[in-house]
Amino acid sequence: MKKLCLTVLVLASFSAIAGPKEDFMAEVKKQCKKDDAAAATLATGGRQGNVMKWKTCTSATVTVGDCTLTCTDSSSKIGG
Amino acid sequence: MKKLLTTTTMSMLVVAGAQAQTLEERVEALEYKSYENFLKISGELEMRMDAVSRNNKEGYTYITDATAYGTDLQTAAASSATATFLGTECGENWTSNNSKDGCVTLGDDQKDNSTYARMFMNLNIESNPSNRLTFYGRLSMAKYLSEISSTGNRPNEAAFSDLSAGANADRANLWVERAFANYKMNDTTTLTFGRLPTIDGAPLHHHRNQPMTGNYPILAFSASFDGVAVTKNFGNAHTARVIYSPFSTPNYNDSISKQTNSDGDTVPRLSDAFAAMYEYNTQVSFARKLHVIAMHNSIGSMPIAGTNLTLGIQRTSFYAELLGIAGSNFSVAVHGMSSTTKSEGSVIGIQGSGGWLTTEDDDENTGSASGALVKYNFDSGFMKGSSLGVEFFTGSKGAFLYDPANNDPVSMYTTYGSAYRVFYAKDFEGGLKWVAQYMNQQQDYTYAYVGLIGEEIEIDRNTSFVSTSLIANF
Repeated sequence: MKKLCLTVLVLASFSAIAGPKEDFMAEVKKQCKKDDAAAATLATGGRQGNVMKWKTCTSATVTVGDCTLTCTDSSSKIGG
Repeated sequence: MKKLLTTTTMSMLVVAGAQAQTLEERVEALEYKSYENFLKISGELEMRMDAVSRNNKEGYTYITDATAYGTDLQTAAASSATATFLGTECGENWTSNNSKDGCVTLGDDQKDNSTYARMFMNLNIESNPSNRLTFYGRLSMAKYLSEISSTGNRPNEAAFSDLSAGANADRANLWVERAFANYKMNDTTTLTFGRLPTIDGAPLHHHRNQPMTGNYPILAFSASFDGVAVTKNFGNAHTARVIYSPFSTPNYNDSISKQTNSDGDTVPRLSDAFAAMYEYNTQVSFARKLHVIAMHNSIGSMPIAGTNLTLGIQRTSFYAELLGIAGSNFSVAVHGMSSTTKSEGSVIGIQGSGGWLTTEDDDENTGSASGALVKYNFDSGFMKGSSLGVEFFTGSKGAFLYDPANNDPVSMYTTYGSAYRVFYAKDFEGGLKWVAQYMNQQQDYTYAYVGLIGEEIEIDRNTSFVSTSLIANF
């Protein structure tokens, strides 16, 4: 029981800090086969940075460095 | 109690350890969180100009108002003047006192052209009240620029207008185009209900170089459907979905008593419509992305108020796109559908000649349509940020081709004949987009009433248009 509580709390703590940057890095790793370090380098901050460029993408793709990411529109998909 | 305290303390220490970020990292995380408010609003504003020309090589008559046409036809039949009536052009007098109304006659080699300008606005709303629940909404406006006066029926007040509310140019009203909630029942299953994102489906998104803008491929069905859906994900690439989206036939005069059709038979207020979808969406060795959608739509028996006409459709469709083929900037998309349309009864006014895709009172018709598209994305030089593509489409008679949310002067996807399109989109830095296209449509067949009901007419009509749009994403 104790182990279960600890595991849940640890997982909850990680999910609490997951956000656009982590989503962006996951997509870079998935779509462009980058490692953690390369994905982190591409995850530039700020309103004009790569993370928000991908997050607010209204084109079919967005290019960040040497990586072309396919954009998605969840408001056009049943089930998200 | 001691054990509990120990556990809690240890847990807090572990959590603190997991969140032991630098101040800079925490500020950065908060910064990103601030960009994602509980309720997010974004949108799109488009101003569009179209120049269209039509060459009607063989004259024909089509019905615009079945009731008015039917009244005149019955009057003519009562005085044994049916042949005279049918031989008279619409708008002309078939006797000295009676004009032929409710229809339009296009003459041989009649050429028409027109230029018009419209604007469209979409306000997109997104809310994530919890990790399980997401809401998406879209309020739409579509209108002609500074409308002063108009003739004809407004598109948002006609029959079936709920299936495309807000998509076609009308007044400066806002319409709810989408309003649906996704509820994650578990990691792989999502329940969705509301006004679903079923219009503007593939391959329309390629014309503007956008992400996919609707979930039903346009050949599956192009209409706004209200309903409930269950989506199940299998692994990272496979998705299965079932949708129930019934049609309503309300009686605003009496919400309780049974409705009857023109034969006096009871008709349901709610008629069933189902869809089953399968999506395969993945990266493959020979392309950046492969997306396949296979779908079957089933409409049991949809009544039309005031008539004894019912519609039943079985429609199977597919859509497939390959993006970034073999590391290049080329993308291709193909789509197709086959439909079987069952019609019973007829529209009053063209009694005996007004069924779906038929002149029979009880009939079944099968047809198909298909199309293909190739697009190239420029990523360097002065064309950087541009995409250029061509598209081809063909539809056979007997197919149920329906595209009420279409915004082109004529819909490519309702062509009984063939059509092609050349399209160009340019994304400028900062959210501005420019779109231009040329389309040519050669129509070989049509149906007398609203293009889907009554007599199948052989025609030879060529329509082409050029359009250009400025789009701001905000």
